[in-house]
Amino acid sequence: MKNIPIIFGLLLILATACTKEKVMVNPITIKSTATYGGAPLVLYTPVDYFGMNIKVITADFMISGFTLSGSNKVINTPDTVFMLKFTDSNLTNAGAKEGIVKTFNADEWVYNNLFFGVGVDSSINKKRPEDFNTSPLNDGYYYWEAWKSYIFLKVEGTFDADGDGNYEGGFAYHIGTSDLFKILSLPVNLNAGVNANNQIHLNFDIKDVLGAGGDFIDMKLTPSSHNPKDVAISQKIYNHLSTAITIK
Amino acid sequence: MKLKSLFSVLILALALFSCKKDIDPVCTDCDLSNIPYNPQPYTLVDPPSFPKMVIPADNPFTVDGIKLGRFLFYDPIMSKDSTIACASCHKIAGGFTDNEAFSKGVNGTLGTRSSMSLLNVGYYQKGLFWDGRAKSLEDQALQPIENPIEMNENWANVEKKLQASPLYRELFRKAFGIQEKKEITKFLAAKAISQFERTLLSYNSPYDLQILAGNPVLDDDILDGYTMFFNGSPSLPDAQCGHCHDGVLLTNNGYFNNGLDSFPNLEDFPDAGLGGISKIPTDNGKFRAPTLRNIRQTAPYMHDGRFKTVEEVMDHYTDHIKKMTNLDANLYKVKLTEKQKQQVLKFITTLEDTTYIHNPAYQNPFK
Repeated sequence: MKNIPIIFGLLLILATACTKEKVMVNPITIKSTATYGGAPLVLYTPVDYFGMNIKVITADFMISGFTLSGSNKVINTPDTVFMLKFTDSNLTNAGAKEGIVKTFNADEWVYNNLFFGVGVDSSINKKRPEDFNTSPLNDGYYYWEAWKSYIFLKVEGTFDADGDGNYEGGFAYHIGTSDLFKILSLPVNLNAGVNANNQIHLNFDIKDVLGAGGDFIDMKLTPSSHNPKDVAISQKIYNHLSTAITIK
Repeated sequence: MKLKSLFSVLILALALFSCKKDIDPVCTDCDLSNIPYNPQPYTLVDPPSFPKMVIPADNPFTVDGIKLGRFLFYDPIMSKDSTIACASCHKIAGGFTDNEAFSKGVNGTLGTRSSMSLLNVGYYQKGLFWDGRAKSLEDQALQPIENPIEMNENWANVEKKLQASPLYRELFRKAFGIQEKKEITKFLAAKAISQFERTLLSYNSPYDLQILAGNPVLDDDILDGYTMFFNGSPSLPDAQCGHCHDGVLLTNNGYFNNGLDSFPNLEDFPDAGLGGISKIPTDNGKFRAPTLRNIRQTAPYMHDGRFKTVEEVMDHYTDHIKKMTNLDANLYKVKLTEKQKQQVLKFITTLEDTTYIHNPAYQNPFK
């Protein structure tokens, strides 16, 4: 009888020792915004594109999951593939500043890198919408039949070729195909903790998407890229992404 | 002793408040429980290359649910004066449209838009009607009944009419297992109609049987037309069709301003389309891209039926686009020669499938 409290105490210690409590931090938030030349991108409003006025009316990006890593720990967001549709969020200045927010749970850790892809890798891209159950992959809106590929990004708009105030031209750059796809890696310094402000601000500058470092497209000559064989334009735009997408 | 008394009280209470509902003893046709209810699930097989149809969890297919839906679809009892049924605006021979610019409702009242095809409608997940205001087939089925320019009825009356009908009391019982006629509601009616509509499939066109099946296209004009339609090669111009009419459904279910009209301001559209629902000015004048399957059966074209032929539609895109701020960016320059237009049109003929027209499962059960 005397030994029962001791045994009970030992058992209690054992029980608490074996189940190390997992520390769940405040959710990590990744806020994505779209700018143009550093200013919030408000669709349908004129902006300068290397000496010519344009209006961006569509800016959508297909993202292959966000992955955070830091010293032997890697966590993936729950959404494997999702859309960042600035076409919907950037209709007003307020919407442009608010951006698109993705939230997920993570362990307390120091994270150094954010990895993600614009588009999907070949293992997904070789499949078709009918092979998936959830959006966007099951949605034909994001799939281009002729390419047998998902559309990784779409930037569309209008341009005023002669500066007379009439936007008589349209541009449409739709980029896809597996050979373009690559994972982007951006350095972050996220000390995710219970009381920390666990936010990452990711920014897509559309002027840089279309012409990073002055490498612009002559929209009058090539107003669209809508074919995987338009390699020059597709590659140019995809290569711009590593400059255009930054951590703020 | 006390325990025994408590037990007896409990048994008595159970007997008094048993699960069986009290059915009005005066109403001789209220109780439907004598009609057998043996629901048989129905499995829809998605056609080759089609995506998986999303079936709502609260409205699974049953054989009797579909049967009830077909009766309701063809029954003018749903309208105020019993002259208009769903099938009045969605006729089989017209690809489940009525081949009118504006559909006619009760008393010949003209509607404001052309009826849309219901073929493969079960696969449309981004809103129904030209303006996307119905989020599901179940939601859509509720609306025409109370629309004054369509059936001009109210659901309370329709429910009474259905409850009074021995045919419908039996059909609803067999479809949904209801116990009493008062359980016949608009929601069950909409579910049944939706089940029937989800079975309306078209997938036997030459496009399906040849091109989607991966067989070589032997006609050069059709091949070039197909290539231009989907912008499959930089050696031919992009006809821009596939930007809106893509994939196996020949629609990507998006909403677009396709250059039908031009006004000084976005607010000037007499029919705002999507913008009338979203209240976003840049959505004004945008309408849902319909399927191009069976397009020659579903004339006239556009939300207001302004074009009588596919050729007129083609000419609109190449020569008569009207620019507004929110014109789809892909439509600023659609340049095709006459020969190229004919090739695209010839490809479009491969989208025709007439096999569904005589499918007995789609016919009017009252005939």
